[in-house]
Amino acid sequence: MQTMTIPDDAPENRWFHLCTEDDLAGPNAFVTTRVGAVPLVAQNIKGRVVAFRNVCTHRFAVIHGEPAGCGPLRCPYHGWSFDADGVPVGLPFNPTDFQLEAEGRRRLALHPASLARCGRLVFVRVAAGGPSLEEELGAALFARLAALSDAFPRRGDAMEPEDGWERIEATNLRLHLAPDQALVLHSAAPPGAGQRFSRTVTFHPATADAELPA
Amino acid sequence: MSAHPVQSIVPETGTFLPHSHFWTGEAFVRERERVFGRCWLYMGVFDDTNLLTAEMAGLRFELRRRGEAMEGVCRDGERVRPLQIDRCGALVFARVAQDGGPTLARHLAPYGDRLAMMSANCLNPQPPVGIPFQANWKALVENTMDDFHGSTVHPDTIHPAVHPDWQTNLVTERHGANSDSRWLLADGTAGWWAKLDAKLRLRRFAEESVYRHLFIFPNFYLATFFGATVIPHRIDPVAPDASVLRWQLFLPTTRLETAREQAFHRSTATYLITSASTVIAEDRPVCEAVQQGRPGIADLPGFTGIYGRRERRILDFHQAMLRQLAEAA
Repeated sequence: MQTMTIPDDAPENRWFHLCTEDDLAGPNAFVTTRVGAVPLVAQNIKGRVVAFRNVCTHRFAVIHGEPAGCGPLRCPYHGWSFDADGVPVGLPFNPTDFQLEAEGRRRLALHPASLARCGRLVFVRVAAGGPSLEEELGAALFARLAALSDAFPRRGDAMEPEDGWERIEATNLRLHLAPDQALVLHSAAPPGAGQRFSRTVTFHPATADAELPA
Repeated sequence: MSAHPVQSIVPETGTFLPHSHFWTGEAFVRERERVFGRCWLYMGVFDDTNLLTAEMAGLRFELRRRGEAMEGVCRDGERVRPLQIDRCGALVFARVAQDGGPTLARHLAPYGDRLAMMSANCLNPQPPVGIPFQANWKALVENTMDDFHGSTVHPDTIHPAVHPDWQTNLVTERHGANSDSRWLLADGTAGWWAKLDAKLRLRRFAEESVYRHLFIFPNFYLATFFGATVIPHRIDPVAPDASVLRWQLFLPTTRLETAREQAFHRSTATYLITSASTVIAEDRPVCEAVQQGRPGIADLPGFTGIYGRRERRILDFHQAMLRQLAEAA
């Protein structure tokens, strides 16, 4: 079979910021993006947050078409649904049309993507192997991003960055920081992705109440 | 033991089209020459204008009828080639003139006689409809020959219109590139058509309570309901990732005389066109989802998909395409 080869310096081999942990906290919550030609999905499946190529192994339809949402990892075409290992577990008409047993289903598992966290920030990569997120960002930047994401946990009203705010850039991520006030996080769509996959969120520091001991 | 032995097929290399054929310009150009520049293609049913035109993969087909004689050309930019034109009943087909190649009857085999019989119902034509898809034309072919996405894609339209035990009552004939599927209509649907028949006195080519889908390679299918209504469809390639599904409803009656009968016929035709458009609007997102998804796994070796018992027509189409593309120009 003909396959396309991805060069080492291609976007498919780089990490891209996707969302925050909060976006994937609920049951069946998902966030999608596209890197090059590859649709990706990160999804909470029974408490596990996992990432796959967002393409059904049956007949190649994109599974989740929306940039984010809440719903089972189920293909809209023929209703194949997948578990946290990417294995199809719901196959309509399997007894009559496919007769796939456990091993056959495992061979049709979704192709995994890489997922990593930096504090509360979630990153994805098409390639299953390669340098870690910390290696790609560098230890100092990784630590700074992690600390900032922990220090600004509260999603709030949108704010426009102002002159004088600190600006930090990492992969497709641009942060504007007003210390003790706000962190505006702009996640640009990766190469190949449409603008609908870009995201901007404003975070605020934890409230005083939240910092009080229980 | 299962009543349906040997179900799914994971295709081997060389038995289905490479994924890249669904989006590359190179594949599109090759198909223009070797498929649309060579095969018999459905052109339409002549009306009072005595003209038929079509555009497929950048080729423009122009046909004219003078009495019983038909002539036409295929334009490809500055290049103009004569057409060979033939009929199957009322259905007009053409191909770029060439030495050799199958006759139209051979190309339609074994369904020529069946198509000719059904085409006698190409009466009371309604305005042609064209619906654009942001998907390669072959994704639409795969969709239309996929006999089991009804419950997921058409849960409120086609799915309840066919017999609840559709799996038992679906009959599919496969003959290489061409195939025919017949679905038994649900009792309620058949009853609706029977009432329509009583009011409109439909012309019926067969006493059958089925939805029929007869596919002719490479891009034509005739849908029929109740052995009466016929809807020729053609999938026109526009670009590697774009196509137009063109179709025309014929609602044949044996009597259409009074103003009341004509008004009822008009409103019924409008209702049927709206219903068919709704079904196609449901198919469009999944065809486009496949168009978006397929390039996303093209770098993975062995990512071939799987074809179940009711998806064999799709592999038949892939294999016919491979044969056609391999033919010497």
